[in-house]
Order: sequence, then structure tokens, then C-alpha cells
Amino acid sequence: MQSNPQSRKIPLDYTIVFLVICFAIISLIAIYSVSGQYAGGDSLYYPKRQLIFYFVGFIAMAVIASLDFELLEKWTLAFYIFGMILLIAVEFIGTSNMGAKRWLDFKVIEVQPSEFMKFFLILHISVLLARLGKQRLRFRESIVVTLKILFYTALPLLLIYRQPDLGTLLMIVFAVGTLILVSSISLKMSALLITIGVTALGTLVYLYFNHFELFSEYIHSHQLSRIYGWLNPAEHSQGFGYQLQQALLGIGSGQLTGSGFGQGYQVQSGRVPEAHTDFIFAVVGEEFGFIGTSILVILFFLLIYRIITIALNANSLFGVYICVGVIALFTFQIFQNIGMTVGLMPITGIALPFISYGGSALLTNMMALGLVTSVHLRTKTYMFGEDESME
Amino acid sequence: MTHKKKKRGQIPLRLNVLFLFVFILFSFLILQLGVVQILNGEEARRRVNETENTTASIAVPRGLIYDQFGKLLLDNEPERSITYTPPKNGDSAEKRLEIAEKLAKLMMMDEDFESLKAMVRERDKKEYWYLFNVKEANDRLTDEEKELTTSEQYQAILNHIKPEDYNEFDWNDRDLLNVVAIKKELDQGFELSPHTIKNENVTEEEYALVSENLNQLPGIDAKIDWNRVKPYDQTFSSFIGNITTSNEGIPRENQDYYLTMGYSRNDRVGTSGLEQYYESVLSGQKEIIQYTTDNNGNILGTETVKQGKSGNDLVLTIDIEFQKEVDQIVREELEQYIKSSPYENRYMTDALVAMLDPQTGDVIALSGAHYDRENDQFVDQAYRVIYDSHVPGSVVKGATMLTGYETGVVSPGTFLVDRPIKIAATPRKQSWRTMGRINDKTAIIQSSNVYMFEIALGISGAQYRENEPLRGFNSEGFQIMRNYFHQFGLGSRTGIDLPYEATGFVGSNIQDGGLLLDFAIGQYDNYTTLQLAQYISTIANDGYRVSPRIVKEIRQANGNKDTLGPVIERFSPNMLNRISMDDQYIDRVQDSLRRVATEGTGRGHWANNRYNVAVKTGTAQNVFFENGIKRETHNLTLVGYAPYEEPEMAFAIVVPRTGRGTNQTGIHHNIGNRIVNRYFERKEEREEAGIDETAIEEMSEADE
Repeated sequence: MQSNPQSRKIPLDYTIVFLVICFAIISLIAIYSVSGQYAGGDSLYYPKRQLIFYFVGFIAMAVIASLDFELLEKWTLAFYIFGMILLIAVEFIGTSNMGAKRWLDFKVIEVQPSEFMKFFLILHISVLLARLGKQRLRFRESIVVTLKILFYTALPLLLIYRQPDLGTLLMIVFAVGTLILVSSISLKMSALLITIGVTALGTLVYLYFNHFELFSEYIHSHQLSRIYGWLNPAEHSQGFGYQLQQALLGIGSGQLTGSGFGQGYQVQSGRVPEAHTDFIFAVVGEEFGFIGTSILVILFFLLIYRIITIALNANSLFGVYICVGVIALFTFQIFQNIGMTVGLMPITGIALPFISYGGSALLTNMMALGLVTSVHLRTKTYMFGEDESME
Repeated sequence: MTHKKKKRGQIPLRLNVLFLFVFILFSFLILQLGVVQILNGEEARRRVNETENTTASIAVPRGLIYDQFGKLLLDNEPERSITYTPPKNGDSAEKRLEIAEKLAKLMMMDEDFESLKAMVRERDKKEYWYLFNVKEANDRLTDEEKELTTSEQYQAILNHIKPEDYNEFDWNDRDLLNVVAIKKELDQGFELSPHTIKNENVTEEEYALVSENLNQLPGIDAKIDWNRVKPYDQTFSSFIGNITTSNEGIPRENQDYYLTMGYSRNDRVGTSGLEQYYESVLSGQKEIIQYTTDNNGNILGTETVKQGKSGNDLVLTIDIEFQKEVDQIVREELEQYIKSSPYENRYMTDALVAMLDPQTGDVIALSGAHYDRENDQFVDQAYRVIYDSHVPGSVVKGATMLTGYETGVVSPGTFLVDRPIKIAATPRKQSWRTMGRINDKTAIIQSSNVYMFEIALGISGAQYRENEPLRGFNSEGFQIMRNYFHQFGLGSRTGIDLPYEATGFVGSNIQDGGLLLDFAIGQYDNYTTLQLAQYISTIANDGYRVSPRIVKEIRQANGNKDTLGPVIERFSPNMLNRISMDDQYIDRVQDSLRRVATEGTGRGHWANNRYNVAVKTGTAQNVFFENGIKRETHNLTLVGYAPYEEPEMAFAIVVPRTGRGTNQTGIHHNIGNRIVNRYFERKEEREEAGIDETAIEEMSEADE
């Protein structure tokens, strides 16, 4: 495999580009199929915009890929601080939508700082972890760095919790947790963190079932109703439970081959809410069946696989951690989104990466792929390293 | 390879673990998808395609109304109508336009160009333009508007459409207007409910054309609807009442009531008269049909859930032919009086008659003629018998006398002196002539006012001295007298089976003793003609007050207008109360009333009547103000019953605002004589012809 950066004209990874083009096609088809019911019957309104987002995303990906990610190392703290300022700004001058205060209104464009913050945080933690080197630390050595990471993580989480945005919060916890477990900190510390995490989760579950009054103090009511809907869709058939049930019925009725493009009764009739954004997977499921959904899941898996390969080959530890962070973010979003439409996970407002309609999410995801590409392009292969490339 | 791994630490291993973890997660997803789509897919598909059941109700014919001899008074006339029943979830706008265009070739919404033009409003024009310019109109939406809900967005789209847009079309084109007018009706349809597109003036040709092409017009149906028709036109019409049109539907103010009763919004309901009072009887039971549809709205099957039942028919107590004659008599007399003395009778507009069977309360006739002076027309306004109240005058003296007996102020045979009464600072009060020492009988027979004044004074405990104020007047006297009057129906509800009835006017000043004297001679409180009829009926019926009723029985519709169906309910007389006076008192008043006709104030008009009539006359001062100018007129009133021995009819006649000249006093007597005579003559004619009251039973089916 010739992976000499100088020989490439375009600074891109063909596997990633191929996968993204596949995603773009699937996304456009799915959005076009259902967008007739939105935007005043103009079924081209959303697909057109999504196509534009993809173009912009490609350019952003290419630009970031062409930059040397190692230069970022010095700037991550600055980014982190910038992100925190934006999050604090949301706290004071943010705009609200459906009970959540998540956006900054810059007149021309609305920005959701938590979208950026998750990247800045992962970059910064990657830097912190990369400095530890490759060898396992002892338990005592791990304490300081763990506390440091927890501190950096806790600050934005607190602000995001106040917005509230449970989905993003869980996504960050998942990504940071993954980074820590993959890093060189002592196994004992990893075990301790896992124990703490499991205990915390267990306590919440216990409180939910046995001391609901305490539980509900920490969880907002709109989040609660989603949890209800998830646990017992039939009983809460008016709200989220209803949506979930309709989505499940739709996906199920797709069976092996699906009902065909534009033929999904559930997704076309408005029974499945937000069919072009959060519930886009239901469109794929109902109209293209098990074949369609498994192809999409396999494509996602191939993407993760490609990023893992890049990480395995990378000789910069910082690059490895960036890849791990991106994998964690994608995995969480994909699993959470698809999981919620098939009833494995509670409903949160997390979109399906690359497929759901939405500019800012697509842009951040493409930028993430840009970073990964940059890591790949700057991986130096040595003459005596054939065995490595054969892995 | 192994040493390299060591050199690079354990990162690859951890990455592989991470990869394994991701692999497991994704495998879970695929597995779950397999469960959802393959394992449970069949069930999910079945549930999505599951047929839905929707019910729709089909109107049934409303009940008919007959008179007591089975003559049809209210009929259902078939009417051709074109309806549209949208499928489940409705048709798309394009589809509706397509239907409208096809239908427009077969029928015109209105032949008249101007009314056709008036049907199409600006909004309709906008909606029409929008259908052809969806893209352009949608492009006008701002990004903000695109986030709106569907209906708000649609409104925003329409707001962006300007006259210059829709005026691209020629809105003077008959055919275009016709298409848009039809489409407008189609737009109003609600899934699975028939909506009337046109039901007035559907020509036979249109009906035939649409019927032939039904297979090309999904949802369209050509049906026979019905219309309420009164074969006797205006006669008794205001009591039969009216119903709403299907476009008016159920009255908005009582919407919730009707909806909970199972009505749909476009159902026709009674809004006045018997149509309203007997709504639940006449309306029948709607047929409920359950449609089974698939998700595309195709109807797979229909099943009648509840069998419809036509509304039941009403049989009235009246004889429509006699009612017609009474109407004519009243109108003729009114006309004659107004035309012969136009100046004297310049304020006279009405003549009202109520005739009841005193023993059963059966309404024999209710009649009211009204003179429309501006158009010089005599019109039927019979409802005034129940809604208008008038100063009754001396006709109430029977009630006053009985009240006097009951309170012990006078007893049979009490002599009192009839002489002018002068209370300080009020006008002199007296009888029409000073009668001197008279007893209670003479007081009625000669219609003495002063005797009644003495009764009122006695009840209120007041001491009268000439030209001095009344001393010791107890204002409770008003309530005492009114309570007794209520027992006769004077000032209380008669209980007639109509949705509304007036209860008259009650004077509010109870401090002025002079007014109680007025009350005693019928110069203070006002009563309706029907109340007066109930009052005299109560006396005629030996003190038993029964409520008047128009409906005699309810019969099941039998689909044949010439015969009556089986009886469902036959109403027995509804006795309201028995007045508290002793039989001997009532007998005495009855006797006096008879003698009014033979030797008293009614002698001149009634002495020669051969049907043994008992009457009481009244001439009330009716002073009213017109544009601030005082007008003095008389209300001529007459109550009576016949035959005296075994009364079968009682009547009250009120002719308000007559002239005061001495030659103007006969109208109520003329009307009275004529209706009494006609009543008995008709009875005799029937007896001669061998038709008796039970004739109706012969024409009804053998049901019991």
C-alpha cells in the first residue's frame, strides 16, 4: 500500500470519501422520500439544503485534512476555553426552543456551542493523555491525570446539564470514558472508574424504581416523559411512546425488502415524527427493509473499521486518541439513534450521523472525518515497517 | 511483530478491544433489526395494513304531522341532491379539483350568473390559483414561515397570493366559476360523511347526468333528500314550526347538547314550534354504518351497526279544516272592522283567538290575524296567541269573584252598593253604569266594577272613605289575589306543548292600593290569549285546570302518507291543579256566566245563539304611547264556553287597540258567534255524514 502523502493530489482518504458519498446518497434519498410532508409540500426543499451542507462539509473536511493535526496540540487549551466561553454565553444570552436553552443566535446562523465543545474537550483530553506516553502508568501516577481529566470534563457537563441536553451529555461521558479506558492509565484506575460508573447508573435505576421523588429532582420532566415512553410505549401512547411505537411498526413492516421508495405508510403519513431528522432511520427501515438497514449499519461499521485502521497505523499518540474520540462519538450517536428507533435505547434528540437532515451536525461530523484523514495522511511509513502495514 | 507490539505499548491491543466492543454494539443493532424486521415484521406489516373501522351515520326521514282526522299537515317532499362523501383521510386537493371539473360538466351550481359569482369568494380564488402554482406559492414562504405548522403555513401561503395572481384567471367565465363553486363544496366534506353539494333546484337532467356518471366520480352520489312541506301553507304554520337547513346544521348556541345527543353538525333540527318541542320524536334514529377500510382508504366492506328508524309521526288535536275556517273568520272580521272605520280603528292590528277543549286541554284552534298597515296586508300571525299579552279587562271577574268567596270577603248572596268610588288624588272609579245595591250574581251578569273593587278592598284590609286616601291598605293583597289567579292559569304557565310561551306581564307597583282595584277588574296585569282560554276552561271544567296540548298522539311511521301507523303513545289530559274554591262557588259563577249571555252584558250578541253559551265580556282601557303621544284605545275581550251544561269547547278572544266609539264594540262578539256556530255546525255535519270522532281509528292500521 502506497501511503506516501506527497504522491496524493487531493488530501483525502478514498475509503472515507467513498463511504461518505454512500451516506450522502442514502441521506438524500431518505430525506427526499419524506420531506413532501414538511416545508409546505416542497419535497425538494430539504434535500437541496442537505446537498449544499454536504458540499460545504466536503470542503471543510478537505481543508482540515490538509492541515497538520499535530499543530493543534498547542491550541487545544485555547479551544477548550473558547468553548467554555460560548457555553457560558448560552447560559446568559442563549435562545430557547422547546424548553431547552442550547443555542446562540448570531442573526445569520444559530450556533449550538455544545456541538463544538464535545470536540474541543476530546482534543484537549487527547493531548493530556498523549503526554502520558504508551506505557501503562501505575495507579498512583494515574490519580492526578484522572482528576485533571474529570475536572476538564465536569465543567462543560455542568453547563450542558443546565441547558438541558441529556443526549450530548451522555455522548461526552461515553467519549471521555472510552478515551480513558484506551489510554495508558493504570488498569486499577480503569477498574475503579468503571465501578464508579456502574454504581452511579445502578443508583439511578434504583432511585427510579424505589425513590422516584429523589430521581425526578435531577431529571427534567421532558426527559422523564421520554424515559416513560421508552419503558412503556403502550401506556404513554400519546407522546413519545406513540412515536416510538409508530416508528417500530414502520421499521417492522419494512420486513426484508421494504415497501419501496416513498411507499412507507408510517413515515409518509406523519405518524412517525421528525422523519427527516431524528427518525430518518425509520424511513430507511420501512422503505428499504432489512436489506437497507443492514447495508447502512455495515457502512457505518466500515467507517469505524477504517478509523480504527488509521489509529492502529498512526505513529502519533495524539492522532490515535483523536481517532478513538471520533470513534466514540460516532459509535455513540449511531447506536443511540438506531437503538432508539428499534426500542433498544430511550428517546433522546440525537440525530443519525451523515443521514439525518441538519447542517451543523453534518458539518461537525465531516470536520471530525477531516481530522481523522489528517492523522492518516501524516502517518509516516518506514522502510522496515512492511510487517506493520501487513497487519 | 511481537517485539514491535511491546515497543508500541499496549495501544493496538486496546484499540482492538475497542473495535471488538464496537463490533458487539453493531451486532446488537443488526440482531435487533433482524428481530424487528424479520421475526416480527409480518406482525408489524399486518398491523400497519390493519383495516380500520369507521362509523358513519345516515339520516332517516323525519316524522310527519297529521291533524286529528289524519290530514297531512307537514310532509317530506323528496328533493334531488348531489352529495360528496370523502374517503377515509379525504381526497387530495388535486383529486378534488379533478372531481369538481368533471362534475362541472354535468351540473351548474347556480343558473344565475350573479349568484354564481357571489358563491366564489376571494379565498376560493386564491386556493384555485394555488393548485396550479404550488411551487411558486411555496417559494414565497420565508424560512421562518416554513417552520410553521401545516395549517398556519397554508394560511401564510394564501396571504402571499395577491389579486394580480389569481386574476390570471378569467373570473367572469361561467364554467370556471362553476368549477370553483363546486370545489368549494367538496373542500367542506368530512371523511366518510355525505356532504350536500347542491340540493336546491337540481334539475332532472342534472340528476340523470350525474347518476349516469357516478362511476367516474368517486365519492359523488346523486340522492333523493327531503324537504319539509306544509300542504296547508300558512295555516297553523307557526305552531308546526321550522327546522334548520343542512347547511345551518345544529344551532350553534346548543351545539354541545345536540352533539352529546348523537347529532352531527349538519343535521337538521327543529328550531321552533312542534318541530322543536317534539324534536326527539320526529328526528328518529339515525342508521349507523360501519365502514371497514384499509390504510389507503379503500372501503372493504360495510356493516349496519344500528338499524335506522324513521322519525315518528304526530297526530294533532286540531281539525285543520276548522282551523282554516277560524283563521278566515278572524281575518274577515278584522278586515271588515279596519276597512269600515279606518280612522276609528287606526291603531288596531290584531285579532286573536284560542279555542280549547276544557275537559282535555285539546287545542281546537289557535288563530291570529295581523294587519300589516304599511303593506295593507292581512297576514297569519297565530303565534301571538301564545306570545303577546294584553290587558284583559272584565273577563277576569269570574276569578275575582271566586277569590272573593274563597277569602271570605263576600259569600253567595252578599249585597253591596255599586256607586262611584273616589280615592283622594286619583280619578273617579265606577262601573259602566251605577247599579246601586246588587248581589254577587248581578255583579258578574252586569259586570260591576265596584263590586270587584269592594272584594279587592276587603282582601287588602283597606278602609275606603270618599275622597280620602285608602287607609290600612296591605300590599300583601296583590300577592293573595295573584296566587288565586295563578290557579286559573292567569299569570302562570299554561303548560302547552310548545317550546316557548309567554306568561304575561306582572305590574311591579304593589304600594298603590288603587292599582289593586284595577287588578280586580283586569286593568293591571296582562295575560296572553291562551292564558285567558285556560282560565275560562278551568271554570268550565269545574275547577280542574288542564294544560293545553296540540299533539294528541305519537304514531309510528308506516311509510304510507295516506294511513297512520300504530299508536306509540296517546296523551291523556294533563291535569295541572284543581282550584281551591268549593264546587258551590264555581257553580254559582258558572251560572252567572251563562246569564251574562242570556240577560247580562252579552245579551245583545248572545241571547239568540242556540248553543247554550256562557260568556264574559271585557272592554279594557288600553292606553299606550306612540312616539311620546298618548293613544287611548280599547282591548275588546271575550271568554266563554259551550254548551253550558257539558262544556266541550272554551274560547278566549282578544282584539287589542280598537277604536272607542260605541259602534266599535262588536268584533269580538262577531268572531265568537261565528266560531261557536261553525264549531257546532261542523259537528252536526259530521254526525249527519256518519263520521264521528273515532273515524281516525278506521284509517289507521289494525295495530292493537
